[in-house]
Amino acid sequence: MSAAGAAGLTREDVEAILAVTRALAHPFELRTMLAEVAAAACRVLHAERASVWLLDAKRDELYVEVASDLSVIRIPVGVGLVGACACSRDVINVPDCYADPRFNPAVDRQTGFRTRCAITLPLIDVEDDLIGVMQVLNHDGGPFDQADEALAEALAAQCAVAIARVHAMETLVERKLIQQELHLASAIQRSTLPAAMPVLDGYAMFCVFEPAAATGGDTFDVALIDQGVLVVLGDATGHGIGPALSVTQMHAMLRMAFTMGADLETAFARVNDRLAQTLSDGHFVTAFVGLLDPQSHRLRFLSGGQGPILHLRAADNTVDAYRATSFPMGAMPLRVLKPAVEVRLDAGDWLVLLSDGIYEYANASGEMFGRARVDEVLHAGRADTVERMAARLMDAVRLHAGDAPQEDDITVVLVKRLAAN
Amino acid sequence: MSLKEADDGITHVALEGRLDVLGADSIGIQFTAAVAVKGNDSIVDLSRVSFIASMGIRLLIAAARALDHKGGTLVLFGATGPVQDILDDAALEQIMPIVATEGEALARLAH
Repeated sequence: MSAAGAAGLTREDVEAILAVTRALAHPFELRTMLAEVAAAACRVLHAERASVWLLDAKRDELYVEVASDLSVIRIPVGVGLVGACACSRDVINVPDCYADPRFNPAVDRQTGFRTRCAITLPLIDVEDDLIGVMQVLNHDGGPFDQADEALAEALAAQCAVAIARVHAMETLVERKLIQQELHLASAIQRSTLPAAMPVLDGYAMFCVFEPAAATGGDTFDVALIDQGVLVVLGDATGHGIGPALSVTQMHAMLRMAFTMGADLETAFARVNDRLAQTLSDGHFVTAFVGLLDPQSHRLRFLSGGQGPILHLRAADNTVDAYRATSFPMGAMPLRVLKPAVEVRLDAGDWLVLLSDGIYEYANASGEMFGRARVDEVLHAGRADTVERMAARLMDAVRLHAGDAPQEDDITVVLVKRLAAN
Repeated sequence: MSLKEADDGITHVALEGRLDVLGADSIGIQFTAAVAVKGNDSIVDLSRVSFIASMGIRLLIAAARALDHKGGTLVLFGATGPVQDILDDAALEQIMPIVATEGEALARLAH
């Protein structure tokens, strides 16, 4: 609102504006808000019709949703009085619309309304961005005068604030909904994780699970089943509830297959093919699935896209890294299943499974934690307990990351064959 | 990302930089549109890609799968050491051919 405009307002005008301001403070829904604005403009300016056009910045168009007998109409910025106002951001007061070359009579033709005079005003928010255009048509008793213009400017300023408030509220609600969805996704993820590690003579096992704020989709499982000790690390690509559901699905399918007596190869292939049918395009789960025989100390595993799989040998303090045996699970049906990899865990040896959240954790300079740092930690901690090794690893990751936020879930699965056995 | 459609009807795409969450996000739609929507056999030059994360892998798999549905093939070539390691770690060669040079990539499509 300009200073000159404000000076032109009478006491009655100010009271009318204040009444409108009070009315506009309540609605929290855009459609209701815009209807209130249009009604208020007609009332205060003694006009036949008012409409509020909102800016669709992506399409460079203005659209109107208000005025009960008009459906949604879109016009390009620059077209008609409304479009001209959006371009110039000036008040346009036209006493005879059909005599003005900028006037677009198409809307009249569409609605059967006859526009005589019009005042068109930009709606500008507190950040000086155009958010829409208000247009008031057909003043009682002739064209809009300067006093009407001042009143309309005051009203437009109030409307802009009210619309910006509704937009802010909608954003807040949307954010809340997203947060709820993420909490749900997180709960789903956690519900499938083992509550405790199995207790097994000669072995120690430990897991760390630290989901990121924007849930990714990690899962793990360490459980004593008929076929041996089942060890699983899964990571669904993406963020939000989708990946959480994908890993939960994979986890449940694997458990079911093993419960039905499947061997490693059958369970892996069946679950892969089932996921390929059920996951939507572009979604998959990287997964390590291993079975450890605690008597022979042989670990057999298949890995769909999950790697590297690390075997820390106590005898010579070296780390053997194994690659995935097949592509990420669910990416497509398995045509050929490569043989399972077999590894013997000697006394003091470790199986170390880490999700991307460790390897790809980047510090403020964008440098990732990477494989070399993982190996350093493993070499240094080979005589540690599993709890101490996990703490050593997480400390090293946090030290590297500094203030950089955690972007992805972190999952660590450690299995150590104890030296005394 | 650069893109050209050669006279041979094969889509040539060259990717560059880091295919991490941000990198994959920024080219995702363009890449998928160029490769998967057209459905032509495609070769993808990775020689100027310095890093590829899980989101980048997802992008490649999604495009290869979509192309496969349309009867086309996606061939990767030129991956440097660290990028090749990541592709190997994920066993991507079981989904799409991965070769060293552009010539080999074109030869794969000629079969």
